[in-house]
Amino acid sequence: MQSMGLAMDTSKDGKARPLNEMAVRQIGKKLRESFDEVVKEPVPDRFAALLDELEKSEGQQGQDQ
Amino acid sequence: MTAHADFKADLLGAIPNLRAFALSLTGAGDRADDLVQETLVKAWHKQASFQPGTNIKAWLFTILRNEFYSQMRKKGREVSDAEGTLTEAMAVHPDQMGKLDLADMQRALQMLPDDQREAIILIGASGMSYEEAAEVCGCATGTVKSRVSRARARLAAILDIDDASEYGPDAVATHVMAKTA
Repeated sequence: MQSMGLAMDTSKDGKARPLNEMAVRQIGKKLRESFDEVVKEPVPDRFAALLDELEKSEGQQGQDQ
Repeated sequence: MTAHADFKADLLGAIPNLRAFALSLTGAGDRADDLVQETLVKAWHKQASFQPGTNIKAWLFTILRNEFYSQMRKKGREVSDAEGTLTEAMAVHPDQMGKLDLADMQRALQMLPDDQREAIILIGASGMSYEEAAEVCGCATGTVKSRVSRARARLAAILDIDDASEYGPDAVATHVMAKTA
């Protein structure tokens, strides 16, 4: 709890002291890793199915409206 | 029909990035995929407003981002509940072992103000340029830059990586000792 409070103190004004280069690099690396981890996941089938549906309904637009 | 086929292929190709963006924004896998689904439907119906040859990733990210905020506004109550839960569950301080888990980063992102979160995700995680990110957020590049640096400082504070204590076994040991003392 104490460390939580400290974390808030350094950031609550929104302009905490400048970060050292190592910290910036580590944050950047972790951000990219966590993003890329999802990018590399196989795309769930539901999305291809959805696009097929959309394409099909496009063809029937005249009837739908 | 070829224009349609190209557009469909472009959408398909963008899905992995859209999913990662949605997950970073929402912090929840099921909600993220629903958000991607809604984005694809919206994008499909807005196809006429997309200029082939321009940046489809930025265009789609913009749709997803706007959809996300419009859902947040509609579900105002639900969102503030979620924030309460997050704050409580947020004993992030991940680095007893000097290591930062990816899940910690996800949770830390959820603690940032919306504008800082989207800026650091677009620039720091998705690898967009400041110009692209400014287009997605609908603001000036200078605004994106200052949001990114505030987000970095805040993440560093939340994750407790704002000093040299992470680097090197001796420093880590000292850090752990200090915490357990």
